[in-house]
Amino acid sequence: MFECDTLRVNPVVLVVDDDALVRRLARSTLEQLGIIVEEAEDGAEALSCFELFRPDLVLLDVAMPDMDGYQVCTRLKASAWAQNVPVIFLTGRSEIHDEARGFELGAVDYIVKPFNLVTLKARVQTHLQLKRQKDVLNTLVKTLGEDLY
Amino acid sequence: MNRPVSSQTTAVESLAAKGTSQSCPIDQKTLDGIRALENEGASNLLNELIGIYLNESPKLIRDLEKAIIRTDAAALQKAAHSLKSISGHMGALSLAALCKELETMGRVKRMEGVAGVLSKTAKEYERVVAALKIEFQQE
Repeated sequence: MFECDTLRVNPVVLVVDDDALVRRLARSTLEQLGIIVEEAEDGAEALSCFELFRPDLVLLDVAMPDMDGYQVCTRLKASAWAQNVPVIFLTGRSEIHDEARGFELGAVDYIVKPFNLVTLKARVQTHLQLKRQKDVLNTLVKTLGEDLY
Repeated sequence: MNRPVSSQTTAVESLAAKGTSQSCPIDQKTLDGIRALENEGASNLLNELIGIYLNESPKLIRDLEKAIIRTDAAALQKAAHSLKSISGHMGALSLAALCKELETMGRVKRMEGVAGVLSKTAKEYERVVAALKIEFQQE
């Protein structure tokens, strides 16, 4: 499954936010880049969608009812295959003081809401490119390792 | 649909035409960003977002009112946070700022003076809804 993901032509991004308006705006913005967007409206749905769609990147709201973004990130990162999946937190300006916590949990970036559409595109593209390069390197290392033995 | 941004009559112009002296409660640059997505293929996006906003926001206003009646700081923080988020994404920046004030009051559990801020929020919300309805009709 992991190797198949590296060959995807269109990357998949999972958008997790309890606000439908935020999800819709993120979807339209990212679809312009040829990204396939999947949506989850709470933490429990996010965990199911994460396993089901194996996204290349997750945009994760911090403030959600029941299970907040930090709890979801911890659960997501528990899977071995998920270590290489970048998580970007979506956060209100008032929560940004807590950004160290997100990085400790394995997030790669923060985007402050309300987000600028150009910034959202640029950040997501950058982290998808980095992930793709990592995936290619991992595949090469694995192939070289098999050739050696 | 998919008209060039420059050719569209904005809510600012519409309100000006109606003789109001108040500034438009919606930041047009934010709406232009959404219209740019429409022009790139996300047809009818602005109307769809306005529809979501008009559908979801009345409940959040009611939740704010209930939270204040019940002196429930946590509920106030939660409702204000959600209304701030969706309002900010629609360019309702003054409303989002008022919501942020309410959210902070909820977070620090300071309920005195909250009714006054809610009153300002409700008035600004009405202006936002009116402006968005004009945008909706023009799309």
